[in-house]
Amino acid sequence: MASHEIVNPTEQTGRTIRQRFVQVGVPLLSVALILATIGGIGLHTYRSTRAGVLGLTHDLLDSVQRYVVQDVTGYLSAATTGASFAQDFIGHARTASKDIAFYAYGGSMLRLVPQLQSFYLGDEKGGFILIERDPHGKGMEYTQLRPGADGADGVFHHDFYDEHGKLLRSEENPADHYDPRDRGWFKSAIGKDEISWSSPTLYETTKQLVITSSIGLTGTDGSRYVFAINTSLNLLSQFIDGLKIGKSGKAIILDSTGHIIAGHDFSRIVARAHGDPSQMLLDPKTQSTFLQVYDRFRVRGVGSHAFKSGGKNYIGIAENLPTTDGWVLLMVAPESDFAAFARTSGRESIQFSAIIVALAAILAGLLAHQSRKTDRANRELKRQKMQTASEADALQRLADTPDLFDSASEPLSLTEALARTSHARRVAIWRLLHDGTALICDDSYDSSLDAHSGGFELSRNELEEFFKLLDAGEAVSVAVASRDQKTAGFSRLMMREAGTTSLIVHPIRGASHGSSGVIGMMTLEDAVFAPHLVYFVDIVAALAAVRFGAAAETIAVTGESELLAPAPAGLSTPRFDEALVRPPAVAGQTTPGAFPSVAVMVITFSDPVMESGEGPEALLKLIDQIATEVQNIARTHELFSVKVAGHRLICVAGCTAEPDPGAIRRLAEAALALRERCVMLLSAANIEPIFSIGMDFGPALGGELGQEPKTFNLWGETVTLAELMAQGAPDVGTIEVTERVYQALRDRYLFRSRGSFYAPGSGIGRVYVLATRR
Amino acid sequence: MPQEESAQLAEHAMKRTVGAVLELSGATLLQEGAALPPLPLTMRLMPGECMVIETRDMGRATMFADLCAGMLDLRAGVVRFLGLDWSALGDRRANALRGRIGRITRRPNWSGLFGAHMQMMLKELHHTNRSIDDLTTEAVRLGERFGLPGIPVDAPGRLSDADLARMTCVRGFLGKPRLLLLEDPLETTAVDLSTPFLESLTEARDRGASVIWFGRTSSTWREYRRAVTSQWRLADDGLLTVRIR
Repeated sequence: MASHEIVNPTEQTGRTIRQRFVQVGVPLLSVALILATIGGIGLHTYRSTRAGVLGLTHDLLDSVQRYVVQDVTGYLSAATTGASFAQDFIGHARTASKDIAFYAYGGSMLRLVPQLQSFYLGDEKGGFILIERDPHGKGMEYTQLRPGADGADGVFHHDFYDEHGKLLRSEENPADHYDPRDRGWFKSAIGKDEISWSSPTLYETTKQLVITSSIGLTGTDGSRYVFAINTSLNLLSQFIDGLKIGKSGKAIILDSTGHIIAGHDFSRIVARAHGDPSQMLLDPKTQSTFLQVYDRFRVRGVGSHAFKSGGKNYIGIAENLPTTDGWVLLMVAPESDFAAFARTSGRESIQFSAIIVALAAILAGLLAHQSRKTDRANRELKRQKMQTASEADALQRLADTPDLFDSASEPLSLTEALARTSHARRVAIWRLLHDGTALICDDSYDSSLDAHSGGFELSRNELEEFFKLLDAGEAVSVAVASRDQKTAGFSRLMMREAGTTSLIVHPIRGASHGSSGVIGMMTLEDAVFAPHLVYFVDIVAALAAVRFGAAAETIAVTGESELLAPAPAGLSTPRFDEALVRPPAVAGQTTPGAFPSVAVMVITFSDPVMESGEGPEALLKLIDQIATEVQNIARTHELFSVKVAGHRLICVAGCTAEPDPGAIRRLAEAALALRERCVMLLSAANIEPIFSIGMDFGPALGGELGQEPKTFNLWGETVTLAELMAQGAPDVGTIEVTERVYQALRDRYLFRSRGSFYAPGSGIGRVYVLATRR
Repeated sequence: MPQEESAQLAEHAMKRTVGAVLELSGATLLQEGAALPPLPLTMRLMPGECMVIETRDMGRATMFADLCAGMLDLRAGVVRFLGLDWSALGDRRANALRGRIGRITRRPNWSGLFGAHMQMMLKELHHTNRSIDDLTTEAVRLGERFGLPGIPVDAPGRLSDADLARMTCVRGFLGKPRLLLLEDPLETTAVDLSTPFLESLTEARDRGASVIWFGRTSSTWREYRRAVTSQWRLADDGLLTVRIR
């Protein structure tokens, strides 16, 4: 019934869920909370550290930028300050010594300032002088433009001096109509008091890019001159390359039009532009970061700009260079150069946190595991407590059973107690015959059907292996009985029908027939709980052993010779006329009135026509055969009368004035013989056994009724109950008997109990099924 | 079958079979002035036992049955059914547990809102997921036993008193209850239901059900006396045991 219930009141689902939550959920939640906390702290630390580092980086870069600007300014100051100085120095020199002043100043500057390449001095009349380093030596080269006579092309006159100022040689080459007044540096500076810058140009002599700064000056005679200084950009680039900006920071200088003046990897830039300064622009492929800073500078102006490129964070700074013609210094450095330690620190924090979390998780797991283990142990304790209670309860029931050790009574309570306690599907108690050739089932209880059966016999010849197993005397548990060679036979004969799988064979040891040893066995089929019930099973086995010992004594006392009681002397041969066996009234043996101990057997047949579908002739022949057998059996067992009434056959024995104790035995023998013959005949005709037999034993009323031919009839409770037994038989082919029959025959036949039944008039009584002879 | 699962099954099965089916331990009613005296009541009913309680006042019997079914509040003590304390169960579980009790009341309690068939099987329909076929088969079997030609489908008001008494019995025994609280149906009925009643009673006890049979006199159960486990008397002075003669 419980399996059909929608709500099982014995289950505490809510508590179980709560318990599991406390046991598993809370530790896991704690770990999750710790994880979240550590993660949060780590993230916060990382963010604050990063923000701090970035602020620091900006400050640092600002400092670097100031320092770089200062350095670049210092680098270019040789050109700017030098130009101003030269403007004053040469401007105030006398006209005759102007060239000397120029050469003195220029020579001095070239010797002291390496980034300067050369100095020019041009005048408004087309005069031009130049000083530069001797390309082939350590000295100086003085160059002067000497005009040709009468408009002819002039020449450049070169004087080469060594480092001590000694003239080494002089050369001349055609000026090729060179006129300084046509040059950009001259044009942009003539008449101006400020420095003007020209675009970078390739300096022919050194094949280096130079930039020319020029300034106008006025001589003492009022003539106007232009003083120019060539500064090497390659050296400027080398200088910028040498700047340290973080770990991998780079810098570049652009002019106001975006052309590269100097910067990182300058030689490659020059090569890419084939030496053409106008082509020296930022390359989006290789200089994307500079380009981004430059774009930001153009939009937002000078300052630092954080941006992302190629998945990396960068910091860029743009700053105008003072004293230049709108030049801008760009610096780029990856954020990681400065914030790398913050990231490393964050990663380490996370790693440490992970270790802590792992430890916490292990601890939480252990806690949960321990908690579950404790819970399991508690459950096990509770189960054991219940098991003890269950065993005590079962033993108490056994103790309450009357005649427990009476071998004449069936061991019903033993099998029931065992089945209930072990939750076995089927439990049977088997008795080993004293010669050990066969096992007889005293009782088999099927808990699913709540039914007893018994009387089965297992022969040693059939189950050699199984008997060997039993002889070994050890309790054996087989999970799948059909697969084990030793139990396969038992499984085939006994278990297949019930559909059971596992088998426990528990031998019963005790003394019987003067020898001690294995005297029987208990079999438990599909016992869920038997492994936990060793002691209880032992106790039941001991009880069964005591019973078997008592049974052996009883049989020894009664003896086999009394199995069939001799018929009372003087019983006449039954007669056959309208009844199958007519009561021998002629012999004067019947006494109308009450008979004290009549044995009545009623056999009910269901309709054979309905059952078989054979032709009526064949059936009639079969029925005739059965009737003949009945007559033979009646003669053999000296029955009083056999009467046919429709589908029923009523057999009577013991219609005597004095009680006939042998009547019921003769009738039982007749019943067994009849059953055997009927089963044989019906199965030969391929018909299921369609009969059931009921028996009762007790007083009845009877007498010859009517006129000749008088009919003998018997009635009373005994007849009624015998009919009731036949009608209520649990299965076809069975012999159902009342408790009185059982009491009379229990020492010679095997019965199985069908349970207690209430019958009107007679109250509650047990009903038994006659299985076989003992 | 895994060992743990089998152990759980066995444990579950054990819970149902071990110990007393019904246990009153000093159970004292909260309500005063009711039919049942507010005295501590103590008794224990084991599986398969049949207890007869004689009482002149059947209202008192009804109230005692209510107490056993956990329907009344207690001032002290405890009432346990199948080892479960009624007061410790929530409504859902208590109601489900009441599904395991079969009851026959003296005062007919049939509603006019449903057909008799529905009311007869209502407990099983509500508490279990048994199939209709299964339920009707059992109801028909019991009905036939009590003398009904089938399951009545009319409104109960249109049925005779005798058929209502039969239906009451069928309803009480339907669903293989673990506890039967029977306010003697044999005393008042016009028809003799003793045979099917005792037959059903014996069948239920053989199955392990426990029975409390309330009766005004011993005349109805005299025939069954041999099978009665214990006899009690419920009076103003509480629950007293009577030695079976």
